[in-house]
Amino acid sequence: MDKASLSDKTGAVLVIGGGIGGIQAALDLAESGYYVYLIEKSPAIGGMMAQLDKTFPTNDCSMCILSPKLVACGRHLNISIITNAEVRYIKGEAGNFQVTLVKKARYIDIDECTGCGECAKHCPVRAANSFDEGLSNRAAIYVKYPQAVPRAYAIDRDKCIGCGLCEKVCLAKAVVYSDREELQSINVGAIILSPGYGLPDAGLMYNYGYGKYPNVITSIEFERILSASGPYQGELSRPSNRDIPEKIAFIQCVGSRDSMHGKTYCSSVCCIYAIKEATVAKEHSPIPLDIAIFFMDMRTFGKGFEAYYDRAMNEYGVRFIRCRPSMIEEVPETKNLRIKYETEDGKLIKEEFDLVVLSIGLEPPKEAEELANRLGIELDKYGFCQTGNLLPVESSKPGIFVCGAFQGPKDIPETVMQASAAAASASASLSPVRNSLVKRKEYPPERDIRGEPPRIGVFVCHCGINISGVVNVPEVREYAVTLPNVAYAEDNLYACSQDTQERIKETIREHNLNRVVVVSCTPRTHEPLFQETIREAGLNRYLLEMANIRDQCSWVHKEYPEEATEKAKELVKMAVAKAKLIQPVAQTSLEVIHSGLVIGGGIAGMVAALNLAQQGFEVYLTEKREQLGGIARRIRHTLEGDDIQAYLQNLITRVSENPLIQVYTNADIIEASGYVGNFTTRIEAGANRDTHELKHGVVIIATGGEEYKPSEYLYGKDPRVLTLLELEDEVAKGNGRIADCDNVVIIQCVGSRESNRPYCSRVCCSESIKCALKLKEANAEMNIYVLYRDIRTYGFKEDYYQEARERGVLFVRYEADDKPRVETITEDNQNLLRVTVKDPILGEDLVIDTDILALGVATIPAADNKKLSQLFKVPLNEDGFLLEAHMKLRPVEFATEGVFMCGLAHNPKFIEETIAQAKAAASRACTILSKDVIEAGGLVSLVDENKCNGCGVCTLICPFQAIDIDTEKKVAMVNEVLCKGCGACVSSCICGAMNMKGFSNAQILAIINAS
Amino acid sequence: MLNTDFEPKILSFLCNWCSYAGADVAGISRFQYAPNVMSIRTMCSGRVDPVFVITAFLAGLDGVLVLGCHPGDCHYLTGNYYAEKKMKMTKRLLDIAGIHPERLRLDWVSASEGKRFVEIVTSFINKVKSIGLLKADGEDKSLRQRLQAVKATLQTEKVRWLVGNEIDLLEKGNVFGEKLSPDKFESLLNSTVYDEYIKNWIAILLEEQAMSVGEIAQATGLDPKIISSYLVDLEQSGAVLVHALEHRTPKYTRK
Repeated sequence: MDKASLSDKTGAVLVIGGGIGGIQAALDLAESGYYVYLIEKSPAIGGMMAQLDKTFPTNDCSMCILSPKLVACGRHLNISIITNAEVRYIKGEAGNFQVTLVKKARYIDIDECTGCGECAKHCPVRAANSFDEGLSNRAAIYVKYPQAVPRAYAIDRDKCIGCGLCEKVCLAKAVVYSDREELQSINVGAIILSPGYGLPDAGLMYNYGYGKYPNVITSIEFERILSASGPYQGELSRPSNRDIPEKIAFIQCVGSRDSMHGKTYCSSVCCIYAIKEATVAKEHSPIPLDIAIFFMDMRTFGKGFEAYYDRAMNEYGVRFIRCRPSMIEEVPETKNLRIKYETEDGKLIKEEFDLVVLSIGLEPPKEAEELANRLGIELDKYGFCQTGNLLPVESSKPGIFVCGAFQGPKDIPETVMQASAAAASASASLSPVRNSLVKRKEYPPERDIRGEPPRIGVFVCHCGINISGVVNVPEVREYAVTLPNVAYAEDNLYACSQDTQERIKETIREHNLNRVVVVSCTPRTHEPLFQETIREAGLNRYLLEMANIRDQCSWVHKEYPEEATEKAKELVKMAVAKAKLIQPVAQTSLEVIHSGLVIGGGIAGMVAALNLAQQGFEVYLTEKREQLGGIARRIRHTLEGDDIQAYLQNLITRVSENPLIQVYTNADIIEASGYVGNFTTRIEAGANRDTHELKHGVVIIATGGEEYKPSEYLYGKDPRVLTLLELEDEVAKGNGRIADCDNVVIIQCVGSRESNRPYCSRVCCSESIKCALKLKEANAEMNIYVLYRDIRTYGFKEDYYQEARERGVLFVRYEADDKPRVETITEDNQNLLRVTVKDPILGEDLVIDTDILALGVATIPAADNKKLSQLFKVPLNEDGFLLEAHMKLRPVEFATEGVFMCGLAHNPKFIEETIAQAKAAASRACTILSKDVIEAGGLVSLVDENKCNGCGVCTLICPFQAIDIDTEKKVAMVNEVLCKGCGACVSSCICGAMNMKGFSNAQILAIINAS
Repeated sequence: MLNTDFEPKILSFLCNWCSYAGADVAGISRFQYAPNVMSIRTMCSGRVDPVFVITAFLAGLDGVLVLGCHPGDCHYLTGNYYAEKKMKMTKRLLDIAGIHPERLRLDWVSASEGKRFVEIVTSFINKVKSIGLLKADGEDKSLRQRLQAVKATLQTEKVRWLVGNEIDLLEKGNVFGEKLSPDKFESLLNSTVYDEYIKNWIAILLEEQAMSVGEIAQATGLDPKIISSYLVDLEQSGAVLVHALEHRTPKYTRK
């Protein structure tokens, strides 16, 4: 690249849409050296995920896992969050776009608003709260949800009557009625689209009684009802009369697999979220609850989903009824709903329910078309963003990438993976200008306070009247002055306002303070701000302590002003007692080795390696076999028709020719040591088994998966029985053996969804349909039978299922406890391969003498997973696949930092999903590789070597492998890079040698004794 | 504080990521609860050392609440599981020491469960009220001694080693690769905790004054034979020695 074109690029990225996808992409890019504009059309980031109560398949609290990401985004120096904003138009091209944004009027100055909520308390307007899907009300001046980032109010101009009261009561002077729509122009090198998805119109659901009957609700409304912070505070009840329902029906595929409304695709997530809502409802309900889920195919294809489905059925007793109800009507007296449906064997049943939940599908976002026009990108026939199948995060316009449900219906982990993948693609295109636009903050040198007696400054906040309306703030301030070591105390209208920040800095200098206690609100949101302030005044940022007398005092003890004042004083006393003992905490920097090791040379490993190299980093790629390519060498085409061999050859060439990638074939990993930023791995490779010692900053494990070799259905005993991959190979050879067949039978779930291998292998349904369609192409007269349990052609693959049916492929369902029987029979001197299966609709045996029997066999984890999991100290799940740090938000990482994974080593998946995950792993890896040093230290554990007896209990307890026993000294050593500061080792230490910075035993005991 | 003759003083340990956030949400939602509960924020419920709990009782608190993330939700993956093991053992010790074990409660509150936080706090305050005030900073010397014995027990190597290893021993296996049955482990832990507690109690009594076996038996309400057997242990480890003989009865004292 020449200099001129290099300087043309801009080291900033625009991310459109502040849901979990946008947040992840923004964080990845900002951590990799790019400046990010994150624009969001509503007043706060968080998206759909903020509305969810729990997340499948772990039933984790959604807000608990999302909120740290919101905060990280909100305070990142290199992420500019622009709310109430949309793109007006763009100019330029990949590498350098000029984007004009339009910022709608918010009528609130977000820099001034403290989020105290006084305005909303006074606002006379009552409007439907869309965050609760209209099930609760809010004022015209509102904050989107309690944990919103930015935590600032906004005025809903459609509802506001302009009475002027909020301005009068706002002591922070944040209300700005003169606010107007504004244009803002920004320059970016790439754009990432993550506008999320839309929900079906009420009209589409009218037939199900939605909008007609109050007790027919959508799944997202039900999600809000279940949420502890929702309209009913998590009390399960139905809208018509707030009765607790005893019987709930879920109806699947509302707005999905629905040709009548042109929504023929499958929304992929509804089966599993219905199971989640059903089990959570059962847990919430104080009375026994009967739940029925009406479905067509149960599509629990994701990691851990099948076990979740199984638990719902067998442990929770959720009823699963395979049918689409024909009618829903209300019983007027009770407002119950009567559902009419037909069982598979043709019985007509009427059943009454108290509540009906419609499992609604995912649509393109409402603004998709307008957005596409403004950006000049193409949409697919449904209105989702058009991408290439093997380019899953690239829009039709170079430099514009996409992630999440806008690319097609998908769940949170898939969205997070695509978000990181989009970040990786954007970063690969901009790596020459990495770090060119990022901001770095300069601080004054830290004052050395060693030897100084503690001089504590206490700042007590009124928070407008939020605190002082209940707590007697002057009294608290006066009390603070009497406490030991307090050199100075004052009270402020708003401790967090810009002018108070300046005052705190001046006061630190003026009174020579060396500890600061801020008595105000929650440290969870405000500690970083005050830490920053005292750092700017030359104090170490850990010389701060906070007392939360708002969220956990004045707000919750309104009826007890005197007691609340006493409690506030006591909280100050506790904070001062700790402050006296706090010490500066040093951070150390460790150098990062700017290269990565990728283990496994299949598509996953090669895509990851190539992306790392495109991002400018050296890569060692090891493959245990002689050739690169992995299991993809056996795949000819995708269901969508992509030529995999051509793709693979191209990929191998690009990897082999890339000067930054060093490929080792016939390679085995012998030994691994080190930690994030600084690993050493010894390998043996090549025909001569040469030993190489590789130094690298990150590891990506991409060891792939294997085809299960079945013992079932005469495989290996009769040459007419093949696996699907073998059939694909035969079909591709184009020989007569296959094309001339009269009958072909394909059996699904061979070795999957069984008691000894309970997971779903995800790809086999689509692979069968791919083969069936290829066979029909070769010979339209051929009879093809697919024997299945559920057809799991999720997303747009559903269209191929419909096509197969239209082309006459016969789908026959069988029950897990009544599997097809396969035998060889000699009749009329012919050796017949006979398949017998019970047809559930006719209730009779269907007997097929087949020419070929193909088996949809399981994908199993690579044998190497076990060894690698031990070498790199990362866990496997019970099925033998690598287990990620978090099912939802950290799908390519481990608790052990610096180690990542992708591809079939993680779980069965399609090639396009592998590509996205491989790029995601590269993106996460580059957040480390792009730094020269990693900051270590902070609030971590430390060992007193004189006390430690090396018992090692801390090493067992630490989930992050951050503690090792020094074999010579026989004492524990904490790796400050890996320690996350939970402190579990300290409270488990048997000899009192372990302690923790910022939360030491002495400090906590001092607080207890002051309480 | 409210009138402390009637109202218990409660201390709660809240983990930063879930339960402290849940308490904040209670504030944001303005859910009201009684003001006699003070909170200490730790990063993880796994940080809460059982010693902290007893220190709180000794400092005059009547009840201690430890709140963490729901199982499976821990920000640090497993901290709350260890908290559970620790608090379970601490409650057992409180029971042995004749202190109502429900003065300590471990529970889970997520970052969105403001209402649940208030419910747990309120029901806990009511529970402690029904048990009565503890007032270990008051006149009751025996109570203080028993609490000190509990605290000392919680600091012993044996107890901490067993509790720290519990999950590994039960789920991964011991040094011989055998998984211990929960019952077997529990009975071992129970007896260890009991032995250590009694020994510490005797040691604390003897710290104050020299006592005979009979006097110790009277002070503890335990059989003299049992006291005698623990004294053998204590003598062997050098923790106590015979101070003097009164007639033919030895009086023991702390070394």
